[in-house]
Amino acid sequence: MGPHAGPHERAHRIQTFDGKYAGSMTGEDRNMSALDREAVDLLVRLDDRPDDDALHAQVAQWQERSPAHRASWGRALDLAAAVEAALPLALTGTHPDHIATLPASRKVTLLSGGRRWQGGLVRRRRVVAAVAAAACLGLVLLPNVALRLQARDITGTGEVRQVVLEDGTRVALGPDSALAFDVNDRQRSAHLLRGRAFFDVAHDKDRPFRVLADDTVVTVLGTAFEVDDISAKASVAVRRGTVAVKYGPAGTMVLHKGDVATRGPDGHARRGSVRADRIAGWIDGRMFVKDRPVGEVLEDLRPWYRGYILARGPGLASRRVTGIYDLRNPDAALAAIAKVHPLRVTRLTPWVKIVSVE
Amino acid sequence: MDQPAGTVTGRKAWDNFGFFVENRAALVRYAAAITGDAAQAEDIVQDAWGRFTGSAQQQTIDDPKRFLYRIVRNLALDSRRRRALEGRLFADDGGEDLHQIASDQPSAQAQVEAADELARVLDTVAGLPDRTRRAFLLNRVEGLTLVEVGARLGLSKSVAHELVATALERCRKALGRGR
Repeated sequence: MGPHAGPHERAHRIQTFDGKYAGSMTGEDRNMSALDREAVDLLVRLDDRPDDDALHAQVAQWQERSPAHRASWGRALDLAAAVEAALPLALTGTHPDHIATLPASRKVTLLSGGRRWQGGLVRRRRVVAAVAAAACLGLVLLPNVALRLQARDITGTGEVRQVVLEDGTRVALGPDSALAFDVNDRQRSAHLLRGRAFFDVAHDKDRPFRVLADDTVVTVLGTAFEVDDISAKASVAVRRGTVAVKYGPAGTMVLHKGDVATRGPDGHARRGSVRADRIAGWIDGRMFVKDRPVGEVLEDLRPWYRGYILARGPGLASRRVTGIYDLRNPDAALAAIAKVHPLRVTRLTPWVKIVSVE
Repeated sequence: MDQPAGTVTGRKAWDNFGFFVENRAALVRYAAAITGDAAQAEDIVQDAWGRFTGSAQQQTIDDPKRFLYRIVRNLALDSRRRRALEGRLFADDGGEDLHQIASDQPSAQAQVEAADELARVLDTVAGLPDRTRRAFLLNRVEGLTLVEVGARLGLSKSVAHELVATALERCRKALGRGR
């Protein structure tokens, strides 16, 4: 409740929660309320069949009946707009009180960021467009969500979303990422559809927590780790605890604190190590890079940049980078890389950059 | 999930474009019914098409028509909400000229109110009876039609409609509107 809400409003709100609102209406209120309800009914029907000519005509005629009708229609739309802005949040648990109210199917999908399309030269380009702040997080109740949510997946660039699941597991979802959860009495599983996520898993010995990314399966019991599916080669890094990683049909690899498993171009998994406190630095906008090709680093920067980055040149694969970069400021990161490598940044428009690496 | 470039065939893209051309007028009409502004409706439909093609190159869209209508609806509602937010700033002053002052950002006060509205809607949705909440979310968030919502929950279309409309009315009351 906002600071502007006076005692009157508060009293009103309590009334509505008791469902006893209709108690003290005047006759005029009642008429208006009846019109408002008619308008809502019409709007629900129009949402249902937006291409129905007869229904459009009916809506138009209804509004013509009086200024009060027209005003009611306007209020119905304002209502729908206000509700629409809030709903994605209602499901994702960003509002802590509502974590326990996930729908019964317990299958939810989170999306963040918005990679709009992919093309030939550059695998991941993004549309510049617009950021609808309220729509940053979407969620759906079915596995084949990606498609349902489409209209909602227009979200901010460079956002990290943090979510707490009802079992207490904390999840941070990187920019331009999508994650589907399926939690039931016997198991908890999360499917990383794209991008990266960091999990701090609540211990529950009866319900193992698994993360799937492509054909990689990570099984955990109480731990904190990162799964990164950028470039479709799921990598797993463990900040705390122990996880078992199974890459496709290959054998299982057990990772402890500070271990990283990555998948090489040949499809085989490799073990590496990293300082545990540097895992998932992207949660607070830092990127730790240790001896990685420039092309990969650019790939990691891309979701944070509001615009297109086109990368080219032979150096993308051969030049290697080490450093700590500020993801919130991709331009500065590029400039830092340019200090040590022959990297040329051409700005075509405020939104399009070409990065060439000799 | 990485998909190879060219997931959407040229044929399909063309079909979508044909669909867009045929339905453009109807989409504009729909947007105008929501925004109440014909010129703005044109912009919204154009914007929607851009977003649609962006998504279509990234994934296969199983029901392009519904998807496109849904984008138009969301954009139109967003624009309506933004305008309402801006309008609220000036409503109390009632000055004729004030609306001509360009405002990129709603004031802090308006933003606080908007955040408060979100919280109220969330509270209301959480407090809905289970069946009502599920019907409401399936319809509003997943974009299922009333018939589909009914099928999912074992209800008739008219009961599904009733539940969705009731949920909206509850939100209205929580927002303190329409009194």
